[in-house]
Amino acid sequence: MRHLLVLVFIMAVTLSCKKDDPEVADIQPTAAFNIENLLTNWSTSIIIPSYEQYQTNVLELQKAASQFKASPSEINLTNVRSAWLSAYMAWQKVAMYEFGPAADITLRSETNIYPTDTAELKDLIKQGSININGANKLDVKGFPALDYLINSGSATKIVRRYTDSILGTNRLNYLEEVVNQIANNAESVNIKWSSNGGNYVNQFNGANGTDAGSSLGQVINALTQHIERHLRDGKLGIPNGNRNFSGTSLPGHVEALYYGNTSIELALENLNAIEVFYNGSNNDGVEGIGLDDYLISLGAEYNEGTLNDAIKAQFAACRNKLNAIPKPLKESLTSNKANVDEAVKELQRLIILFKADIPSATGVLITYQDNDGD
Amino acid sequence: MNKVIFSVLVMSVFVACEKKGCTDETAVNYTEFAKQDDGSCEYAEVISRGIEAPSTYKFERNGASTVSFSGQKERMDMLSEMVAYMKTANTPGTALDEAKMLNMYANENTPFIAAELNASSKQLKDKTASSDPLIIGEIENWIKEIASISDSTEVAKFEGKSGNSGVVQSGDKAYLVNKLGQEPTQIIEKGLMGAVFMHQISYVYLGAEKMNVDNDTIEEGQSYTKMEHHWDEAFGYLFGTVDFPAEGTDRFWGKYANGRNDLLASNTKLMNAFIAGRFAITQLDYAARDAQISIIRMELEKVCAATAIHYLSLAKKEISDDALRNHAISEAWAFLDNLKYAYEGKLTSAQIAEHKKTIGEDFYSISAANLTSVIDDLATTYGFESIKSQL
Repeated sequence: MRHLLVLVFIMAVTLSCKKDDPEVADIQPTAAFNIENLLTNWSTSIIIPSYEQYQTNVLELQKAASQFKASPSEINLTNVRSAWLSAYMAWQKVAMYEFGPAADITLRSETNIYPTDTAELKDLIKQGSININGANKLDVKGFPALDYLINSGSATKIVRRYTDSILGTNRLNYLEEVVNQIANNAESVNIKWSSNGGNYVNQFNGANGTDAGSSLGQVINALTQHIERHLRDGKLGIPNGNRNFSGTSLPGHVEALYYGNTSIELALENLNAIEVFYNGSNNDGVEGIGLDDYLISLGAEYNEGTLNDAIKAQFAACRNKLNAIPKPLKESLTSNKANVDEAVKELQRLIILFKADIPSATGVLITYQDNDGD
Repeated sequence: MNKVIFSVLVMSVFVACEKKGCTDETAVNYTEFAKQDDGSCEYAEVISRGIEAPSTYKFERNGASTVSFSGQKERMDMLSEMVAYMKTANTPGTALDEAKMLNMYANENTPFIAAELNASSKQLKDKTASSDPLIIGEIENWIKEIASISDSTEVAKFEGKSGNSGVVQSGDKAYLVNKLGQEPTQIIEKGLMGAVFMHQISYVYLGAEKMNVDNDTIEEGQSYTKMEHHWDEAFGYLFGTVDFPAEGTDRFWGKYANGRNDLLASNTKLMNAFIAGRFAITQLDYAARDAQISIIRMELEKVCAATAIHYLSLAKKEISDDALRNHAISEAWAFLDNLKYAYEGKLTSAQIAEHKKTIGEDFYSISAANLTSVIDDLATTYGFESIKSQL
């Protein structure tokens, strides 16, 4: 027996020599902390209510769009615009949950790819096509496409487009299809989460380990990737030139480009939603079990203090720097670039806490950035 | 039978990714990710002959190494050169020479930069799925296609797009794709990893014909027996080095086994099995050897399937980016196809074709929901349900 044992043992030792700190895997949740309670609080107090709120807002948008289609007036357009903004804000509270049902249909890509390819969008309208399915149509749909369709001019001018004798009907049909797809996707994800539907909530609450595929693993991967690629890069770093390859400002790449004044609010809403989720607070602000409690129970340290304090301070720093960017963002990219740079830097610090410190405290494996490099 | 007897090794593979499992590192079914022991530990029944099994792939006779796989390494180097040449066309306007690539494939007319490859008697073509003319034809068609679309990049400039072959770019990444978004470089490289390397390992060298051979006589002018050498040739095709994973993680199966190692522990399982099987051969214990053959075939198939899932997931993550998505699906497409080279694999050719149909051959218009459905099916087939989201 001895010889094979030696062999197996040596190979096992080799196996543990991976890039992660080998001690990490040994950390076990303390008896006092039950991960399933954390997951249950997340799903039932935050994620599902947020998706429900989002769907409610989207249904209002759908209703407003349908009234506008029946009667394309300025007052009805104003209703569409305000419903669009409310739904877009509600979207910021669910955008980062790209795992499970949302990941199945890549909800974030279906809903919020920007900038919109206006040339292709116009082309589709000209052809009378409302086929906006498939990967290469992701940049002619979602909230950014709506932004172009309803906000790229004065109300009078927009209404004139929809009442145009040649293309008006095509435009109305296109608008309707974009809104319908947003609504269908919202509904589909909601149903899959619901205990009355796909019951993903049950699976989510039950995958209560810290191993690959555990809900905690998926959540931390999803949040980290979202902060990195969608909050830092998408909302700020790419338009500001920090995170694009030309290194120059790309004002046309801000979120909600045509509406103009709300890019920073959308980013703040998203950041706040991530922080609230981290704290485990529900949508009424009542504190529940969050990642903060878990990190505290693990005794996770950071420099002289606790990791939790460091993360909370970093959320605050990010918020301050975002608030310090004068509106509108697309102009600040040139007139106040340093302010945007600062916000990108603080977000970068937050990412490191999520990507390195939380995984080493919890034993969760970060897998999302895997890239084979060719 | 005063030999090493492995009784239950095959079982170990199925419990690899549960959070409950065997936590005893000395058990044959030790599960890296198991946090809780569920009493499933199984131990190899070993009756020692008093000879130490090596901990590395090091086997000697009279002080001289008996390990040799130079022909395998040559073919890997040939494919590396071919791939490097094809990738030059990722720079728009770089035309590839069809004849040169066909020559590289068949090692004719000294096509390689490395003189030792031109001088080699080995080639990739005649080892493609044991010279299956259909598969060779497919590879040659891809070679012709990449030559033809590389010519057009001058006109297409950066604009590979739906219905238009050319180079698609994303940041510092650039890939030459056909008008469906398919990237021939990936399909050729990964296709040959399957049709040559994987097929040679699973079917040829670990197959009955190459294993039921002489293991008593030292080959003339060599230090190994015929059986030992065949085993080493299978091993050579997998990692190309005895020092895996310290080396050999930069290309082909070594790279992808290593890429899945965090979740599948593939490096250890494959190295372990190759070492144990080779040791069993020196002990003339063919039952033990055959148990390792089963493990190797199954682990290689799992690496292949897990890599297909990995790239399908990556395609979903990058779904709005033409370059990164097309590239990822091209990889997934080839790995999925390679599952047909798994020995007595879990998927039939028809099932593989069905999965490819679900993905859709136009990579510009694929849908996330379809990719998810293929991922889910593969995860169920291979027992990756609990880890599929992180592969």
